[in-house]
Amino acid sequence: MALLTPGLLALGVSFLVPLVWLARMSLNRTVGPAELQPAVSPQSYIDVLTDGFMWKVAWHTLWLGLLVTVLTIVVSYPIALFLARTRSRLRGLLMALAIAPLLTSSVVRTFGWLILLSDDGVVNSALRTLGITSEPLVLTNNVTGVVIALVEIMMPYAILAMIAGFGRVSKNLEEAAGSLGAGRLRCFVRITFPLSLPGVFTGALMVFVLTISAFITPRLMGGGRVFVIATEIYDQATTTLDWPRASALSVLLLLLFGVFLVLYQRLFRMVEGK
Amino acid sequence: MTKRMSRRAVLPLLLAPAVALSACSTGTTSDEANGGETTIRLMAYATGGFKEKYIKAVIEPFEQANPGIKVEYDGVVSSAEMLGRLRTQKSNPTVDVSIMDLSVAESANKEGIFAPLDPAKVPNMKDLSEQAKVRDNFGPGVTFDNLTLAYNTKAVSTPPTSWNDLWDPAYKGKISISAPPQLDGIGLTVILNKMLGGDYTASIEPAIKRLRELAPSVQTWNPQPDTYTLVKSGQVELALAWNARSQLQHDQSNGALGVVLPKEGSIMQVNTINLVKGGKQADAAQKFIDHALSPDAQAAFSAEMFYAPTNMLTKVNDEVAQRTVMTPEKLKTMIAVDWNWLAEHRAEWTDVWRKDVISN
Amino acid sequence: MEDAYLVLNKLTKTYPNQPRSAVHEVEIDVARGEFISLLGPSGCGKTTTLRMIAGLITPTSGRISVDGTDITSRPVHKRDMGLVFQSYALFPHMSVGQNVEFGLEMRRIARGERRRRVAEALDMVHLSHLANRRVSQLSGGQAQRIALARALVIEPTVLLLDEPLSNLDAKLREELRVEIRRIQQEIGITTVFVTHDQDEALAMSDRLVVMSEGRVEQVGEPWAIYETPKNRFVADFIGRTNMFDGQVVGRDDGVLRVEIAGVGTLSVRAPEADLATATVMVRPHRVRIEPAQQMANELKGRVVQSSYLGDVESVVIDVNGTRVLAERAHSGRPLAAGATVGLGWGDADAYVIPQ
Repeated sequence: MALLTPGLLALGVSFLVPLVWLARMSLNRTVGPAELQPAVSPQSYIDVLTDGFMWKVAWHTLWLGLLVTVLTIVVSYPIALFLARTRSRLRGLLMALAIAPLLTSSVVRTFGWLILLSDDGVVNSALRTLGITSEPLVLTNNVTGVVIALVEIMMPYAILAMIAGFGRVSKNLEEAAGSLGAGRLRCFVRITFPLSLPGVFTGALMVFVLTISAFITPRLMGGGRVFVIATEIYDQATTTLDWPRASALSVLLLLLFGVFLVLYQRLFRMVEGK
Repeated sequence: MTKRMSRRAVLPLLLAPAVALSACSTGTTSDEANGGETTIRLMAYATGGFKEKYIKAVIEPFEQANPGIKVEYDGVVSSAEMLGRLRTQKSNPTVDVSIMDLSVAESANKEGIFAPLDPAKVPNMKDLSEQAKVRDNFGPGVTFDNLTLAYNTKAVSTPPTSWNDLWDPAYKGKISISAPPQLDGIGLTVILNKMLGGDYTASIEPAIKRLRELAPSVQTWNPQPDTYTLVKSGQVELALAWNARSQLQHDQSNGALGVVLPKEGSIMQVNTINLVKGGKQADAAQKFIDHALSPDAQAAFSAEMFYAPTNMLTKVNDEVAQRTVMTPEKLKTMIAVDWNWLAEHRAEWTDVWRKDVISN
Repeated sequence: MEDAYLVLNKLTKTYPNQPRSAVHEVEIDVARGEFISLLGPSGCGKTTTLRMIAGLITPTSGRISVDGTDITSRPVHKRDMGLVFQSYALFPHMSVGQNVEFGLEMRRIARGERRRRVAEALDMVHLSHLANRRVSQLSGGQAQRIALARALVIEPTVLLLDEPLSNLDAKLREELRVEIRRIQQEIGITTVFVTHDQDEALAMSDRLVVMSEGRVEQVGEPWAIYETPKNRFVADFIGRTNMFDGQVVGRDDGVLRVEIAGVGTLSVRAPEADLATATVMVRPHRVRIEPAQQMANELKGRVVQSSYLGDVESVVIDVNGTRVLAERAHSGRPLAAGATVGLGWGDADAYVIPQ
């Protein structure tokens, strides 16, 4: 316990204090254009929860979160499985390659995608050259671009989380299944996939939470058309200057995270069979 | 928030929403240890060349004229962020003077963050134009800017002349407009409403209806990294933009970006210069404010950055006058705007835009 | 072998960038129902050989056949071989019963028959009561019994055991050793058993295959391997032994006389003639300490160390600079270090290693 104290203290200062500040701020009131008045009032929560557009934004956020999560997991799963199982000497290098994008900020990567996916970008040029399209596809400044960029940005997280969760996947078990008559597909369906589920859930939760709190990519790639809770918080906090409302939204988003964490733990226990 | 708000600088701070808000509360550190010399701290825009130009045109001459006073420039990306910082240090401010958008400043005035000026200490106040004056001697307007159309001179052979050119099918998919809550979109709503014969305080339905027709042509409602970059690169060809930055970008891009003040007129944006309440150098600060409002300082900054001066005695050369709203005929076309009224209705307008224009 | 069932023909596995083959031209014939052990130090190729039989490793060259059918290129899931791993390899997300049932499901056997056969298999390893347990609730011994039941329930052609006892403690190992052998004999299944433990191999097997550096050193029944090793490696690897290198100085009526430097001339019964040099081997338990009667070979030495092991006493004796190991039973008080003792063994107690 004594050893934990500095850590807990650091956690408290760096995490708990802003959180308490946030919760307190959400109870203040905004008067007129943006005048902040100290109060203890649920008004911001009432405003947020009774605003039809906010519900639309929340629904949009969840939908985007689920879509990006599913796509990211589908694309990352084979890579993670390969990396977790390979005995190649290149494993270290491949691993580094898979997570190298984490070394650059998502701002940089989003701008990269902005260029790649623009009307004259590599993707549209390639499609035109191959004769697949005649008119450029609109891949930026809309939700398509946001999804593409988010999936790429989330992949390293998904891969890392899944590899960490693939502890029960073992070559021996697959060999045992093979010796008992399971071909590759059945071995995957009956053995490898069920055993990899904890990793899949960890990865999915991670991607989902990161996606619904993602602010930069929807902002930069969305062309002002993609409204999610995080961009809404940003607008309220820095443009409309309604701090209580921004705080209330943040608190609600945190609660949403909490709900998903609980659901995740339930699901995880079910999969682990404990 | 004003037009100069560039998201780039704050983006890395904002991965998680919780961080976003706590980032706003990061206070600046105080450094008062300055033996013998008085140092005042000015908080103003960090972006778009504002800082460099302001130091050169206003601060350096002030320091030469007043050897005992030093001015430190604290660059912040947006008015909103300035307000955020000032809120957190309200009881013990480290900033003495702040330049920010009029409507944000009004909130600060009401929250007791700014103090009224003493007209005796800021004699230049009396020479300000009506649009620059603020109630109860609170910080007055120090710069004027106005909305314009910026276009890519390579892609556009006939420069636009009217706001109606936005609806020209030739620009389909090549238009950038910063939607509300940005002031750009708010201003465009006012202009269109006026053009369609309406009063924006009564209803903006005419403007919204017209904008709904424009929506399919708009490539982005949230230009990234900013409007001017997109226009210069040709990613968009026509854009809603602010005059001062457009003029600067025009020069810096060797004319790749063109600026037009449409014939129907425009709206003016006002930056005010404010005295922070409780600051320790109130006298020196007001001395600086007076300098900033003086015809010389106003003329120098206008020549550098193409903001129109707010002091009516300011003399600028013809080129500067042509490239700002300084000429009487241009000033006549400016639409009167009650920014305080707009600030109160900003959220409402933002919602209407989202529901009826953007999501359309 | 006439009735060979599982035949390995010049089986070789070479890995790129490795100087020598992991397995080199291994030839083994296993009779139907035979229990054969692959024995050798780690890295000798025994596991690689087993995995090639199972189909988990593709041989570089050579053939594998079962009952006259070549299965060299048949994939693992079509080989019908029961495989038991050192790590048990039970599926952690399935119950004990589901584990055993898995192979039957893969064979699309009807539910009713599956149930019956699972019950039988569990019964065979005396663990019927654990059918609904989770795998994580099993002890090591139980887990390996379940793994055995799972491998056998599919009625495989060959049972392959890859060091199945190595993760168990000594007592359990011995118990399971007996059990595996009992079940193997009951159902008469051809079995290949990989181990590095010679006691296990000697106790369980019909025949042993001793391997070293990817090659087969000797194949034979346990007693033959122990008593008449083909070379120094086998002699040294199986059991403890004394080996003396010397010059053949005479031969008389099937008894070779070999001059050992520092020790003297030893007599040893050996059928082979025409040797200039010979390696004479004597197992420690054949060496008598203070023999009661006259022996063909008699030496004197000084006790260096004596280890009292309960049933026997293991003694290291220095004979003129040559160490000799001896064991004596019913020892009572162990010999004191430094004591001078006489040693002896008959000419039939020793053996000349052929190579």
